Amino acid sequence: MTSTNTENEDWKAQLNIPQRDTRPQTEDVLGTKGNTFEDFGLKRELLMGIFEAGFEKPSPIQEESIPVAITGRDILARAKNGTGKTAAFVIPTLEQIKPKINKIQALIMVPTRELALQTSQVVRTLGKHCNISCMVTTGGTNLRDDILRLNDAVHVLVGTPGRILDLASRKIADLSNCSLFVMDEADKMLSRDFKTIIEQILIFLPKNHQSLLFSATFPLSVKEFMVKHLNKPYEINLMEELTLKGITQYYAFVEERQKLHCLNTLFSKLQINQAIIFCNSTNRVELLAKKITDLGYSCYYSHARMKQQERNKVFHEFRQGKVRTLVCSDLLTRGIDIQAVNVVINFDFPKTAETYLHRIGRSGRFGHLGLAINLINWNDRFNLYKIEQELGTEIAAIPATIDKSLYVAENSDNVPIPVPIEQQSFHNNNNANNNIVIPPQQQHFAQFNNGQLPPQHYPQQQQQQQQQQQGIPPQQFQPQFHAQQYQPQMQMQMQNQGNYPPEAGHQY
Amino acid sequence: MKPGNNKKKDTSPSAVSTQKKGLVNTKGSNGDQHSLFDESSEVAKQFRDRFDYLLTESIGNKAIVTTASGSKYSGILAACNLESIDGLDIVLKKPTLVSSLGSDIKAKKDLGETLLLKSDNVAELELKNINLGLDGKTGITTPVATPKTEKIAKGANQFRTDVDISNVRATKERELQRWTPDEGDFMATEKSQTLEEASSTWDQFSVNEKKFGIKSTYDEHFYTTRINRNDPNYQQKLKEAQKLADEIEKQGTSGNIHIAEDRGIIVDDSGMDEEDLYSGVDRRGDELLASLKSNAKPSTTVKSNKYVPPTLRNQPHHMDPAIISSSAIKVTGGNIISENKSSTKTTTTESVKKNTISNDTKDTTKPTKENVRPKAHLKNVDEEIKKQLKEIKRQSGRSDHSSKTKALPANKTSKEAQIEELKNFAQKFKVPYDVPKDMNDVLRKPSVSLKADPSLPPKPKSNSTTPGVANKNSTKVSNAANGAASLNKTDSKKSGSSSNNGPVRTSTHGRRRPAGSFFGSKKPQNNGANKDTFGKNFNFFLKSKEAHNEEKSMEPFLIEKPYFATPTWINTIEESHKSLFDDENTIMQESQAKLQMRHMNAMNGMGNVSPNMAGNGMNMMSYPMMNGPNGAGSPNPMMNGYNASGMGMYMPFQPQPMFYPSMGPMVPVMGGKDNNGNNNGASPPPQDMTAHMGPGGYMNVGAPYGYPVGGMAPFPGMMGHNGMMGGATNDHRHKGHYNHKNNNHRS
Repeated sequence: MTSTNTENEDWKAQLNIPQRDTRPQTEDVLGTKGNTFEDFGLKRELLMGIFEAGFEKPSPIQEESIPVAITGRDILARAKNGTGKTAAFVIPTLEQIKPKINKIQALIMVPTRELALQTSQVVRTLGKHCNISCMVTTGGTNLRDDILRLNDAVHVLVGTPGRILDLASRKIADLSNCSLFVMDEADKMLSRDFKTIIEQILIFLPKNHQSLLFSATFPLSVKEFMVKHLNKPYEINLMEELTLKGITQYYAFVEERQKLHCLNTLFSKLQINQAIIFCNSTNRVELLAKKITDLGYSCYYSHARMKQQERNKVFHEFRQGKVRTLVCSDLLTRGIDIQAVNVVINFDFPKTAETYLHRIGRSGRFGHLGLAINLINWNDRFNLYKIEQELGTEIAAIPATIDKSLYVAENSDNVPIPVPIEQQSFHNNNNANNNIVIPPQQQHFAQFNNGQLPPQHYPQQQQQQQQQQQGIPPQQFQPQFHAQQYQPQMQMQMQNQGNYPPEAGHQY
Repeated sequence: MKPGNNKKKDTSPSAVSTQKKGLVNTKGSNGDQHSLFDESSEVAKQFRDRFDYLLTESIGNKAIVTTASGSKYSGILAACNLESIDGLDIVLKKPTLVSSLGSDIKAKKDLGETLLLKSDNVAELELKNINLGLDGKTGITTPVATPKTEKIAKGANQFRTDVDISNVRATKERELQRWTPDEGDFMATEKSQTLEEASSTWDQFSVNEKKFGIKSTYDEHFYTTRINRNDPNYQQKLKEAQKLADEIEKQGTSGNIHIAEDRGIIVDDSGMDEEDLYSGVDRRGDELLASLKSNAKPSTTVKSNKYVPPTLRNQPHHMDPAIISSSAIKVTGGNIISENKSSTKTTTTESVKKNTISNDTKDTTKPTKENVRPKAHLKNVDEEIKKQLKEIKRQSGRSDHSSKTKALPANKTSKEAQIEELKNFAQKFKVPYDVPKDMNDVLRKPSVSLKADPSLPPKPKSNSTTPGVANKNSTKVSNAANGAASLNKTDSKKSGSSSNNGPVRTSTHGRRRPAGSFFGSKKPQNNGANKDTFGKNFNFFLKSKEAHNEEKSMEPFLIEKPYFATPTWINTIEESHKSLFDDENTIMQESQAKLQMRHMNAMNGMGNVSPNMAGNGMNMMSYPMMNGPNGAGSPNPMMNGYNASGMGMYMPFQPQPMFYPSMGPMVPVMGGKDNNGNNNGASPPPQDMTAHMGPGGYMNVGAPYGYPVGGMAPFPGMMGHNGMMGGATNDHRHKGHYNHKNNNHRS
C-alpha cells in the first residue's frame, strides 16, 4: 500500500458495495476475533473486490486461514457448511497470484462441475480488480474449447479432476508454475475414486507447492494423504459440533405414497424463499420435478445424467432466483451456495451422514436461518438413527405449525444473489469478437483500476452495449411464484445490484 | 498428561521455546558440565542429548525440586537453564512447598506465581509421569480415526473426524411420530400416490417457460474465460485443439468413473448412485474386505422406478466387479446406440436408459436429438424382472448381474431384505482371489488386437468400424443381457486398446475393468482363437525363435536365460560388483588394452589370430584362475578385455553381432563344459581352455555364413569371438574382471 491516507479513504468510498444483508446470523459466522480484511495486508485490488462482493468482516474460517495461507503454509481446514470456506481459500489464492506472469499459478479442484462454476465465479467476483483470469474446465463441456482457452493467459484453473488430469498430462495445461493447489470438499476429493486422479495430478505440480484443503466434513481421517502430500499442514478445526446452529431439522414419518402429499402440504404451509429438494435417484428427481410443476410451482431439476449445458442452465437460473424450487440428486449436495434458500427437503433420506450434513447445509447459508425437513419412511428409520448418532443430534418430529422465526428472516430484502461478473478478458475478447473497438470500456477499466472513477456506471453501460450489439429487446419479467413476498424481493435485488435491469437478465 | 496446560495455558508454550534456546546453546561446547564424565565425547554427547530431551519433554509437567536447604517444592516446570555453571537453574510455576526442614525461611505465603531456583540451590529435581513417546508430538502424525465406541480424549492439535467432533451420544431407536395429513386436504382424498405411478417425461425448460415465464439467460462466460477467436492462427489452433481433444476423449476410461465422466464417456454407473459419486465418502476398508462385502451383496439396485430406501440399497458402495463392469463403458458414438436399440426392448430398464443417454455426444454445444426415453417400457420391465428374479439369477452366470434388480417393494422390511441378501450370498459367494478366469479374458483382449496389428501401437481410429460388426453379433444373441454384453465388449476393446496411448494413467483397482472382459467367455469360437494367439504371441520361446529364424536361420538358436538362481558362493554373486569395483575395472581395462596394443604391434602382420592368441596367453599368465568362475560366460571375460582393443583392429567384423540375442547371460546349448566352468575358481587352466575353446569351436560352424570370411578362414572361431564380443555387453567384461579380482585374492 503505497498510497496516502486520503487516497485510502477515497478508494473505499468509491466502491460499489451492495446493500447490506440484514438477516440475523448465528455464531457460526459471527464468532470471530474481530479482525478485518484490511488487517491481513491484502492488496488494494483484492480488498476492493472483497468489499464489492458485499463482504464486511471475515468469518471465523476466513480469519483463521487467510493469514496462514498467505504465508505459504499448507492448510487442512474444516468449518461448517456455508461459513465462508470458499472465500477462505480464494482470497489467499488471489493475494498470491502475480497477474503479470501468464502461467497457471493456482489450481482449484472440486468434485462437481456446478461447484467448479460457482467457485470460478467467486474467484472472478473477488478478483474483479486484480486482472486475473480464471478458467473453468470440467467434463461435459467442449474439450476443444478448453484447450483453446489455455492458449491464452490463465492464472487460476478451476475444475474437476478428470478433465484437469487430461489437460495436465498432455501438458496442455502447464502446471509447472502452479504453486498453489486447492481442494474444496477435500474429504470427497480424497475418497477412493477421486484420490487416484488427484495423486496423478500432483505429479505435474512443482514439488514445493502449497496445498489448501477445505471441507465441512471429514468422515475419515485423511492421514495418509497428509503424510504423503502435505508439508506440516496447519490444521484448522472450527467445529465443536457438526450441524449448523441456524438450521432447524425435522422429520416427517410418512408412507412412501404419502410423500407427495406431505410435500404439497409443506409447500402450502411453509414460507419458502427458495427450496432445494433432494431425491435419491435421477429418475425420481425428474418425476418429482414434474409433479411440482403440476402443482403450480416453478421448478427445475438437475442430476448428473443430464447434458452439461442443461445442468449449467438450471444451476445458473436457480442461483439467480428465477425458479423457486430445485429438485436434484446428490450432484448438488456439496458446496452449492444459494443464499436465498431457506428450506431443504430430503424427499428421500440419504445414506451417509456427510451427505445429510451437506444437504441440509444448502439452507442457512452464512449463518442465516434455515429449515431442513426429512421425509422418512419405514425403511429409512434405521438410517435416520444412524445419522442422528453420527451427527450427535436428535431430529424432532415435524410440528403442526412451524414457527416462522425459525427459518424466515424478518428482513430478507437484501439476500445477495450471485451476479455474474464480466471480467476484463471477457470484455476484451468480446469486443474483439465483434470487431468493434469500444474505447470507453477500456478506459473504464484503466481508470477503474486506479481507483479514480466510481464504477457504478460501468455495468449498466456494459449491459446496454451488449443489448445494442445483439439487438435483443429486453424481456418482460413475468410474475412467477405463489409467494408474494418473494417476487418483489427479487426485483429489488436486481435493481440494487445495478447491473441487473429488472426486465431480464443478461442477454448475450 | 500435561497438567500445566490445564492450570495455566499460556505458560507452557513460552517455556518450551525458552528451553529450546537452551538446547541449542548446550549443543555447543559446554565442556565444564560434562567433564564429570569419564566418557568419550561421543558418549557424553549422547548423555547430554538425552538429558536435553528429558527436560524438554518435562516442561509443563509437574516437578518436585529439593533445594540445598532440604525444602521440597512442587510446581510446574516452566524452564531450565542448562548453561548454568553448577548444574541447572529451574523455574517453577505455581509453586507449593511440600516439606521444609525448618532452616528454609520461605513460608508458603511468600511463594508467588513463579519460583526461580538457582542452580547452586538445587539439590534434586524429580520429574514424574513424563511421556517420552513421540505420539502426537510431531506435526505430521495424526491418529487414525477411532471407532465410535472407544472415544479417546484427543489433543487439540490432532485431526478429528466427524464422529470425533459429534460427541456421539447414544441416540436410541425410538418410536417415530407418524405424520398425518390435515383434515380436508384435497390431496389426501384425491391422489395419494408414489412418484412412479405418475411418471411421464417432460422438458423442464419448456414447461417452466410456458407456465411460469422463466427463460434462461445462461452464458458460460459468466464463469469461464472467453476464447480468443481473433487470433491470426485461430484456425490452426482450432485444428490442433480438436486433434488433442479427440485423442484425449478416445483414450478410454482407465477404469476410473470420474475420468470417464470428464471425458464424456458414458459409463453406466448403475452400481453407484449420485450420492456415491458426488457426495458420500467411500468408507471401505482394505480391498479384500470390500470385495468380500461386494460378493456378499451381489445384486444391484437397478435404476428401477421404485424408490429403494437406503437400507435396502447396497451400502456403502458397490463393489462387485461384475456389476461394475457389466455396466458397460460406452464410448459415445451414434452407431452403437442405434444398433443397440434393437435389443433393448428385452433388456433391463437400466440398459434402456443407458442407451438413450449415450446419445449424449461429447460436443455438447451441438444440439443433439432429443433423447427418447422409452419410459413406457420401464414399468413392465420392472415387474417382469421382479417376477423372474430368481430364475435369472441362476440362469445366466455373470451377465445377469446387470439385469438383476433389487427393486424390492418399498414396504418390505429390511429384515426380509437381509434374508434375501444372505440367500444371494450363499449362491454367489466366491473367494475374492478366484480371478484367473477374468484375468484370462483381460489378457486375451490385447492379444487379439496384437494379432491384428502386432507392430504398430493401437490407434483409436482403426477400431471405429468394429462396433458395427460386433453389433450384428449382438442382435443374434437371444439372451438380452448377452446382447448388451457383447456390445460392451467391442466398446471396451476399443477403449482398452486406445488406452495404451494414455500417459501416466494407471488402472486404479482391478474391480472396474472394461466391461467386455467378463463376456469374452460367452463366445466360445473366440475363445479358441484367443487362446491360440495368446499361446503363440506370448510364448517367449516361440517368439524369440521366430525372431532368430528370421534374421539368421542358419545360426544355432540360443535362448537367454530368464533368470539366475545364483549359487551362494561369494564370487558368483552378480550384484553390486559394478559399484564396488568400478574403478579397478577401468584401470584394468586400460592396462589390458595397453598390453593388448603392445602385443598387437609386436605381432603385426601375423593375421587376425595373433591378438587373440596373445590375449589368451597373456590371460593365462596374468589371471590364471580367471575363467573358472565365469561359467556360462567363460569365453567372454577372456575376450572382452582384449577385444576392446582388438575391435579397433578388426573393424569390419565389429558391427555384425554373431549371436542374437546377445551373448551375455546366455545359456549356451553347448555341452556341459560351461557348466563345469561354474565350479568357481577351482577349475584348472586346462579346463578353462576347453571351456573357452568350446564355444569357439562351435562357432566355426556358424561363423562363415555370417561373415565375409576372406583371409580369416584359419581362425574362424576367433573371429566368432570377436563378433560375439560386439554383441556382448560391458557387464560381462566387468563381471569377468570382478571374478579375476576375486580369484586373485583367493590365490
